[in-house]
Amino acid sequence: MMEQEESNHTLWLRKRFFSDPNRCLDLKPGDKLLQPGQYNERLFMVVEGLLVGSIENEEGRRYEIFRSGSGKIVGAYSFFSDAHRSYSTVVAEEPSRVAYIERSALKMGTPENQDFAEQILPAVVDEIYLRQLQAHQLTIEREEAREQLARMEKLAALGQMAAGLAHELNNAIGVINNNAGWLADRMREYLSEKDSNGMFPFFEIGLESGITLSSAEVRQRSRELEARFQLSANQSKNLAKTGISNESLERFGRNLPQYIERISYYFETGRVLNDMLHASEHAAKVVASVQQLGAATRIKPQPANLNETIQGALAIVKNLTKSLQLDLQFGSLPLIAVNPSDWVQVWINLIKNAAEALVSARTPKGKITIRSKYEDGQIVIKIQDNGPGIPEELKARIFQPNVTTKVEGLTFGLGLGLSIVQKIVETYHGTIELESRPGLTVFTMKIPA
Amino acid sequence: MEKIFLLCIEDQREVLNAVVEDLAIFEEAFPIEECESVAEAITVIEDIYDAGLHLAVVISDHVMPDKNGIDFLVELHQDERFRATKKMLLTGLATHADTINAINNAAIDRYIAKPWDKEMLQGYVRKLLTEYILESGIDYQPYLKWLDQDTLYQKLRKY
Repeated sequence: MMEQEESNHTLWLRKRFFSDPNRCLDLKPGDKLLQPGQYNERLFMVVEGLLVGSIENEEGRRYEIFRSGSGKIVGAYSFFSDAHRSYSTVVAEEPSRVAYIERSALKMGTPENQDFAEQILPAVVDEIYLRQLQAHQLTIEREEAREQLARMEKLAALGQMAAGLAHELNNAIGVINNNAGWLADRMREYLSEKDSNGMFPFFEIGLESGITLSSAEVRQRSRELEARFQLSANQSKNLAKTGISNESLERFGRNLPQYIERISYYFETGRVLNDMLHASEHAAKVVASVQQLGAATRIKPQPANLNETIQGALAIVKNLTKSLQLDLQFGSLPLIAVNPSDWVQVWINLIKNAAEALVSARTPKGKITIRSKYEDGQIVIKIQDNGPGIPEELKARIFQPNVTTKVEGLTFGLGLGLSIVQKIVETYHGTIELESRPGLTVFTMKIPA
Repeated sequence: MEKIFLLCIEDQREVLNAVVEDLAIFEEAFPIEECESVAEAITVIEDIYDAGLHLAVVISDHVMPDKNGIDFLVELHQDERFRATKKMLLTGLATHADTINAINNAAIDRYIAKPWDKEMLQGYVRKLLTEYILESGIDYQPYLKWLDQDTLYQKLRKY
């Protein structure tokens, strides 16, 4: 409630009507001044201390409707209304002193009464205004709480969906992964039996390592092979992909061209299986991270390394950071008791924000730097980008719900913004700070460990 | 037979391998260039141009480390030298704004979503190759085996 200086009419009223020591009451904390239905013909002014007015609903729940400190008028409704019945309970919260006047003391039609009427009106209006204000604040708080709840429900629904999706995908990925492995074993047996020309090792190279050369290196190597062994462009390209050395090729001598198709066949068979195993492992990793995020809203805190939660988040947002340079500088951190999914969510939000800022501003050489270290009993994690920065006018509000810096672009849909980030960090008694100017935006989290 | 190239850009090696494998049916007549980045693709494209050869179809991934595939295809389209080249976007993530941008710039002849269907990809490439060959005035006879008969028939009727 706002502190106000006593206005002229309050001073006047206090002096003229509320200063008689014989018409004063001293209240201890908890003492009741008025209760609902009570007959009252007194008008009170708080001289010192604090009174709290409240009403009770049918179930006996109590709702505060006003707080009145020094200089405030109490009991106006019962004093002025026809029935002279109080509608609320008024209790002292602190040791308080109230002065009062009796209704009978006011003589109708006298100049004194006239003065009183003129001066009491603004005081009462002021009182009504303050109660109204408190009611408004209550409504706003309730609305915010409702929105917060809706966000939490959304998050929980998302979590359930993620968990369900992860379960289904894990089954599918499991089948693909296991069967690719099974197929690899069968192919190994089959091809080693079938092999009569020393081709089998090419299958193994394909299966164990896939294509190790970059596409540019393959092109380079193709040209070398084309020139050295007088091969067609296609033949040399297929051969280049295997990463096979000149020495190994020499042994085929002049017959090399007729072996190339077989070499490539064995190699590619292994390579395809390698790619399948690789891809399904990647998919499993992403799903595990999403699962960690989704399933864990109710799990008990467990000792965790925050670096690992950052890795988990990076796996989830891999697609968004693909076009950016990532610089990870992880220091060794002590384990702390956390719900890992909370932190995965924090990092997702911050990394996603940074990535989207960089991509939508088309920042050349966009880069995200993540540093972690442990010092002075705190884990310090910094997430930094070299994007356009957060506009000055948004900085102060950046942690409020529904504030966005995004103009256009990719949305991922898992993050619920920086307000959630701040809430999570605060849950762990940590702090989050923002420093931003064009070319450098840093979020610094400090978490006691 | 003229030397006519297909070019694929995809930063994830396994995915690049899979695309190229599905296009292997064309490789006998149309050599396939494989690139892991836009920068690499640009040097290869310049080499093809300098050698006076044809670049018929470019298939590009969408989100890549050095450049967005759409931005790349739009730029390629704005380059007079490669106006005739057919452009295809292979995307796991087509957003509304991206789609509008691409259509407004008329830079993309085909969209194909990941995961793609092999026959569909081959069908699209077959059509685009046919269009390129006819529009560029190359003798289509030697390539008949790889071309799309419907497109060929319709286009030839117009001439």
